[in-house]
Amino acid sequence: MIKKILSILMLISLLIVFSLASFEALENSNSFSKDFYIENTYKHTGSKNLVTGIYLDYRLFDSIFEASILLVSVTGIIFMSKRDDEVL
Amino acid sequence: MKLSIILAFITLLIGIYGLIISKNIIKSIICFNISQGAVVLLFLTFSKEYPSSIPIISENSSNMVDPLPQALMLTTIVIGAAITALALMLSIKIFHYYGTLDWKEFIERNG
Amino acid sequence: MKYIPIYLIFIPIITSMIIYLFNNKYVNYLVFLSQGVITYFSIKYFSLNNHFLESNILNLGGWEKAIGISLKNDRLSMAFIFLSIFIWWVILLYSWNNRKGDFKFLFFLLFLEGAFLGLLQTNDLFNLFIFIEITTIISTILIIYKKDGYSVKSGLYYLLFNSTGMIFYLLGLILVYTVTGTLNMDIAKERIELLNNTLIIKLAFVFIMASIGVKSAFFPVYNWLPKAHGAAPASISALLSGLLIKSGIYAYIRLHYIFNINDLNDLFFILGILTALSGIIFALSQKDIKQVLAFHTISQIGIILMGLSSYETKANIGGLLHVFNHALFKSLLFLGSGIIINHYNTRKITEIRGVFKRLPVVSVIMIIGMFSITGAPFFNGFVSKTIIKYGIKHNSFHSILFFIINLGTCISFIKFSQIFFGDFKKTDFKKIHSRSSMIILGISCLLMGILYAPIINVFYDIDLSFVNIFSLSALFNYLISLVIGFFIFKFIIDKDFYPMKKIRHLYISFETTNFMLISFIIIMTIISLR
Repeated sequence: MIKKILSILMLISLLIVFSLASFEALENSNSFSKDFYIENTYKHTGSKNLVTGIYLDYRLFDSIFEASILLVSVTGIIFMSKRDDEVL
Repeated sequence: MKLSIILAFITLLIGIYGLIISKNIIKSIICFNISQGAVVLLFLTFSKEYPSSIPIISENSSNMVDPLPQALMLTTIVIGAAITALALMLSIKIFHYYGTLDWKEFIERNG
Repeated sequence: MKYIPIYLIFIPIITSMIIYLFNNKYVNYLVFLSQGVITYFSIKYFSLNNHFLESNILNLGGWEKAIGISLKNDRLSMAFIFLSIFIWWVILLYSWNNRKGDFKFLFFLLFLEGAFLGLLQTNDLFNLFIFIEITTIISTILIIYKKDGYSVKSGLYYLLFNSTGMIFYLLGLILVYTVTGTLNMDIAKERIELLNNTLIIKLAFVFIMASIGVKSAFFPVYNWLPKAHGAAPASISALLSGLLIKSGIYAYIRLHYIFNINDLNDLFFILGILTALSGIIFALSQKDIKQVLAFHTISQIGIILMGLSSYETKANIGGLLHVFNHALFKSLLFLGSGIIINHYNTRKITEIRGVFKRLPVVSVIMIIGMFSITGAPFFNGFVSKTIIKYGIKHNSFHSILFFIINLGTCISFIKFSQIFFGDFKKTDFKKIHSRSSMIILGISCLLMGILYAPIINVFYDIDLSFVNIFSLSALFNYLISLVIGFFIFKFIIDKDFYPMKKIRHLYISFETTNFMLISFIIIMTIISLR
């Protein structure tokens, strides 16, 4: 019971602090990368969809490792689900 | 705009509160998924001003939303799905070995 | 040769995929070829770049620096790369006899090496998040490799808690991105300096430090570590406890350099002291070999944090040096205990006796490891602990606490050394595997203890000759702490009083750990906003 009341109090105070910080952040936000992407994506990559241009051209390194996360987790699940007398 | 940030953060706090008080493994995994989805929503609402349009170049030239957080969130959703799948597989194995799905009953049945 | 950072990441990954495709016993020897190629490339890269007087940045794809991803190498990351390649050689040699034909184990092990080498070189904030998540997922699969009940429980706890910690990293990241407009670490550092410590930067720093605290086992949130490192197989325990826990410390150093907020240094020093003390208290009450060593990892991380978070330069260097020394001797102890557990078929300290007669080579090398961790002269633990002691000398209360921590380590290893004496009566022993890897680690501990000055001079250009290993007062201090520890052990610890039993069976479940994570964030917010 004490744990529930304490945790609700802490989470509400976290909400107040975060909302103050984010309102202040919205006022002095820096739009350097947004302007760069809107201006230059069609020239550099040839795609009209900006999200595709970023995901597959400027940040391809992230996408390779995201695909490898899928590979590793599926391999792990297949390994986990075999019975013990079938393990190679 | 500001209201949507507060609502997304309240969803995140509900997910974290669920992680603090849930006694079942499956409920913990569901609350983790709620928190992950709330973080995705928070990222997307941080850069939207009214009026603005989707980031595809066509004949309109009004404001476009920032495309970078959307690309980052594609990756984050995939990571959340992979972790949820692995965690559910492990909870099936725990049920086979221990017969219970409670976080605290492992102490008695130390098999 | 400017693409060597990419080769270092992708050669282990492609080798692991080739090994998984052909399930053939002879293709598994490709592992040694790939390790050799990586070693050659890293040595060539280090010598070609003029010993890295300034850092070397590679922008992937040729895009502009503030927009694309870049990989950065400087002296710190090259030292970590050499350490990790060395430890991976040792682990492969140790587990080759048993796992020669086990292609799944080699697949996960080599994939982890590629991902870890990528984590050490990246210069982008979101890329760091992805590499940390890959490391978490692969470590979970390697922890549950034996598939019994205890391993699966610990693996689930580890996975869920670390992923909850990384959610807060994303919260800090969105605040940083909104204010600076870029995700590159160097450019974000310049733009944060112009902003002059507003509320946004402090809150982002608190969130990111909370998630890094989960990853590297600081005081309130370290509970996943004894369960995970105690349940894993022996070679994976050595890898996790020696090397992968240091990824949190590496991220701590990099992110501290970006944000440059010095108000919280006192808090991190106090956290280091609390981590070290609680690690020692829990380690004294355990009876399982691997749990004792896992709790000692926590207390050594506390000492490293005490070194890295103080204002003086000497203590920083001492903390950084202790990272490397700890990797060497902790892997040594875990590999040795793996051989002992396999041989005797039990895990409790009170039942194992007579190791010195049956396995003489292993016991000599374990004694070398025990001298290193307690800080005897001529071994490598002495060097880094002395430097940290010089750094905190001006505050006498901190020095007394540091002495108590060292004393606790001595007591616990006196208790551990009971396994060498006596005799053992059972007769069924299993085959023991190779000891050459442990010999390599033992020799490297001795080398770092005696020849530390030229080695550090090559890497960091710092003169360490003020640490004198031949001084009689250091030897005398060490012997006094051994004697005091022996008496405390005989009269207090050995009787196994009731508080010890209570501490041994203390179990903090998942919900309480999350509660501690939230309170950790609130306390850091309150302190930084004063």
